[in-house]
Amino acid sequence: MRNRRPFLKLLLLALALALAGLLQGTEAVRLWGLKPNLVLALLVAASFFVARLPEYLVLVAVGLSALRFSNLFSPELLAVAASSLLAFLAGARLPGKPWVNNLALIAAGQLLFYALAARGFFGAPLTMLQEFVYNGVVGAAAFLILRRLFPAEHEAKFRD
Amino acid sequence: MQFIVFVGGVAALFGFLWSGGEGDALARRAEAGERLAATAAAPAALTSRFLNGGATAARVRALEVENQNLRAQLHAASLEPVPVNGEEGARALRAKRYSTYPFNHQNLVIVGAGAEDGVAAGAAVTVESHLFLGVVSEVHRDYSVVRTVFDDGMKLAVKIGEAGVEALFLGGRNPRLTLIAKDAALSDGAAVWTADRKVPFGLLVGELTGSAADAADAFQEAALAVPYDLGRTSEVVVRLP
Repeated sequence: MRNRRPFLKLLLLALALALAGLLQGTEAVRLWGLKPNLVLALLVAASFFVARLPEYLVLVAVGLSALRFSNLFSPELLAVAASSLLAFLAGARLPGKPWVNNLALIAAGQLLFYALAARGFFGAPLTMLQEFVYNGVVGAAAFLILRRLFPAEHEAKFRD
Repeated sequence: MQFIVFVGGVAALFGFLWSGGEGDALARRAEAGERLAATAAAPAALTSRFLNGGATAARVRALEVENQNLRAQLHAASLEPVPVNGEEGARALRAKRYSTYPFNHQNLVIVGAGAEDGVAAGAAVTVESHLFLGVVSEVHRDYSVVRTVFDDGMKLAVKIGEAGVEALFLGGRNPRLTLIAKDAALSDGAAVWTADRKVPFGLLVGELTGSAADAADAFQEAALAVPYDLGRTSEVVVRLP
């Protein structure tokens, strides 16, 4: 059934991103010393369900606003923005099933994030792998939930 | 109509996240985040309370932190010629702990005290009065950023136990001590104190939980247990210049 409420969908996504950003600033999401990048994982999953760039940019702005720690234009926030835009632009062009592409883009987004924000972190590959597991679980769950809620949007973005 | 609802909703979100002064916005976001986390964790907390006598366990944890802090105060009082300040006229202030850094390559927290409160960069920050948490790295008007002992970049000279064995503290997800003399006698549970010129002397960093040295190594290394849970710490003490 075609979704008849596109703006309410965007509002739901914006709210989810705001909540994810707020949660990411607490210690509650820390598992075995690491935090998942909830906002990045959610933005990548959402990129498969938002067809227009201006709408996606609003979601990115909401996510970054909730995630902002101290400085407005920190390298970390710019890196999250770059990683999520990569997902939005590349998602429809990747071969393979969308849920696999979702995980691949989360991994690529995480690598791009650390390449832009903290290159030294590449010296801890096990830590990065652990974080990818967390991000992948969050991103996969978000993708499945969004596909159940908004199947028409998902198909529309990938239709020729 | 849908567009109006969407625009209104997003505007309300941005208003919540950005309105007011910087410190007010940070405090509001931090409180919202903590309430969200508490709500999400409510079922688990309820189960824990039922299975583990949760209220009693929380009280025990609080008593453990208080006990460690009292030990640290006694140790500080025994050091000469360090002056011991009482609450009145003390060169320290209490501040709320706001958000923690949302990514994994640094471990920072924001505290609700800044330049207008007299906070200076490099100031030591503790849990209670004598449990070392970290050092102020950025100072803003009404809030500051603290680099904690869980940050990979935290390095401090420390001393171990009553004998004062010298060591280097390395921060991170699993804080540890290194450059310990190979012939030094260490025991589990030995207290580790700050001994670095950058921070006040004699603050409790943690306790030894195990040491090891290969035959080929020139030094011992040891693991460290920090005496508090940062997630359960809502207030910190910032030392003033």
